[in-house]
This record gives sequence, structure tokens and C-alpha cells, in this order.
Amino acid sequence: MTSTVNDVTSALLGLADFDVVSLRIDSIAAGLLIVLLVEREVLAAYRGRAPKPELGGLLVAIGPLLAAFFLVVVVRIFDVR
Amino acid sequence: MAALYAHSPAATMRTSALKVAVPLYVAGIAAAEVCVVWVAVVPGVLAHAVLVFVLVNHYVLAQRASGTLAPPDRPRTDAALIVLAVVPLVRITSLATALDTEPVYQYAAAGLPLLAGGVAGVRLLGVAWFVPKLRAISWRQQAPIALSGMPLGYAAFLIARPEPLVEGSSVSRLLLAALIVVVCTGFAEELLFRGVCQRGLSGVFGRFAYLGSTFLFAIAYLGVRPAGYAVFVVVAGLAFGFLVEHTRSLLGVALAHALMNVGLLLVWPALLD
Repeated sequence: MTSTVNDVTSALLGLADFDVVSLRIDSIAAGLLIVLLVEREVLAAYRGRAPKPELGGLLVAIGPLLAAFFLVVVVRIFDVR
Repeated sequence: MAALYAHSPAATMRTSALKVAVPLYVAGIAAAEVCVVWVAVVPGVLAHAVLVFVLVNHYVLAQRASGTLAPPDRPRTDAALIVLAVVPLVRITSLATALDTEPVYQYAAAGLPLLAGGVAGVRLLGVAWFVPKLRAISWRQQAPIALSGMPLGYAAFLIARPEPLVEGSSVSRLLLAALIVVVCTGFAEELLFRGVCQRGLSGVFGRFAYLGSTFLFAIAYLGVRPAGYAVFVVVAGLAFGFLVEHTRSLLGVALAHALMNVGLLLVWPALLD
């Protein structure tokens, strides 16, 4: 009923191959996170000390992806249901 | 500094270019969301991920080109690029954290990454705008806005008629559910859409930025059923954006959104169904 949890979530959870589709989505999110983290390091190294707004912009994307990554890892390791 | 910025031909050209680029990116985001909702989830999420990568890099390149000039009362125009990444990030993280568990924990898992993004966005756009001095808040102005969430929640319930979010009548579970709904839906969405998005877009679109943030909000609600409820929420979002633009405070609308969702998901389903 919100922008985050809605009929798309329900449809995803109702899929017969939910585990496969979920793994693909997690892989896309993890891939994007890795690319952005590497870019942040490259940017910081290339510029010596990159200007704050550039790194801040990267963090806007890295922050939610990193939080989602830790949540997924915690849920899968500890099987929190 | 403001005069220097206003008369800079490079700054004017950059703003004009962004006024073209931003709608094109928004169209791309809408297409990716349509793909997620009506075509296929995985390609849609992939399209959102590509858009995040492109937006972030466009922002980084624009930062390097633009130097340090910015008007003192508005964020840098380039900030519009990074706030557009909010909707793709909402969809990627909410689907990546989709759990086969109790619905209330789904809201928590999907909302916490958004709060992380909101905090990063606030830091990028300037904490001062988001955290006004408490004495500067007009409670006479903000209290009615906040309380409007109660009738809005009832109206939303009449349109959507959702199942109760929490089964049973345990007070501790209800309180935990209310806390999750308040923080992970009401506050998180207002911080992102009326806070970060609206503030970021104001560098390009000025006082009409709330129309842009409402459009992004509408895209994020494409997957909500029934359609009448999605329209209702978007109209409420438009009103919230207008109020934030004119009162310069997120407090009232964040409380209103939180009260609306608590009514919609917890109170009215338990009382009336």
C-alpha cells in the first residue's frame, strides 16, 4: 500500500520461482553497489581528495544499497522470517 | 554571490540543459517502472540500476564542470540529477529486500534502506534546510497539517479497504507495527520525496519543484492497487508538496503522512472490518 510495499511486492512473493527471481534482483543490486563502491574509491584516489559533493552524490546511491545488502545478508544468514 | 551566479552564462546554460535532461530521465524512470509493474520484474530492475549508474555519473561529471558557484538560497542545479535516482533506488531496494514474512516486517525491511538514502541526501543538500530551529516552527501552522492525516487515513481506508497489517490484539505488537509504519513509510517517504527530491529539484525548477517531486512520487506509486487509491495518494502528495513549499517545513506533512498510514493500515481495518 506504499511506494515500497505494494502489489508488485505481492506479485513477486507469489511467483512460483520466487527464489530464482529474488536472487537475480539481489545480484543486480549487489552488482550496482560494487560498481559504485569501486567508482568511489577510484574517484577519491584519482582526485587525491575528491570534492565533497561528488562523494556525497555517490553516497546517496550507495547508502540505501548498502543498507539493503546488510538486511538481505542478515536475513539469509540468520533465516529471520 | 547570487548576482554573480545569476549573470554567469555558463550557469544559465547548465540550468537550461538540465531543464531538458531532467524530463528525459524522468521518462526513462517511468518506462523502467512500467516494465517492473506490467511487463517483467527483472528487466525493469535492471533498467532502474542502469539509470542509477547513469544519473550518478552525470552528476559527478556535472560537478566537475560546474566548479563551486551556487546561489545561496537554492541547492546546486546539478543536485536535480542525483535526486532523480531516488525512485530507481526505492524500487531496487524494496524488491531486493522483499521477504516472505509478516507484512509489517516487509515495511521495515523496505523502509530502512530508504532512510539511509534520505540521510545521505540531507547531508548532500545541506542539513540546515531540513532541521529548522524548533523555535522557528509555527505549531499553529503545522498542527492542522499534521492532524489532516486522520481524515486522510479514513478516506484512504474507504478507497483501498486493506487487510489489517497485524493480526490479533497484542498491544506490544500493535505499538511495534505503528512505530514501523510511522518511521518506515510516513517519515521515510516524506524525507525522500518532499524533502530530498523537492529540495534537489528546486535548483532547476524553483518554486515549482513540488510538481516534479509529485510526479516522481506518482511513478513510485504505479504498482499500488486499487488505482483509485494511487490517485488519492498522489493528490495528497501534491498537496503535501505545495504545503512544504509554502511553509518551509517537513514536520507537518511527515506527521500527516504517518497518521494517514497508521489509520489506513492499523486503526481502521481493526475497527471497521
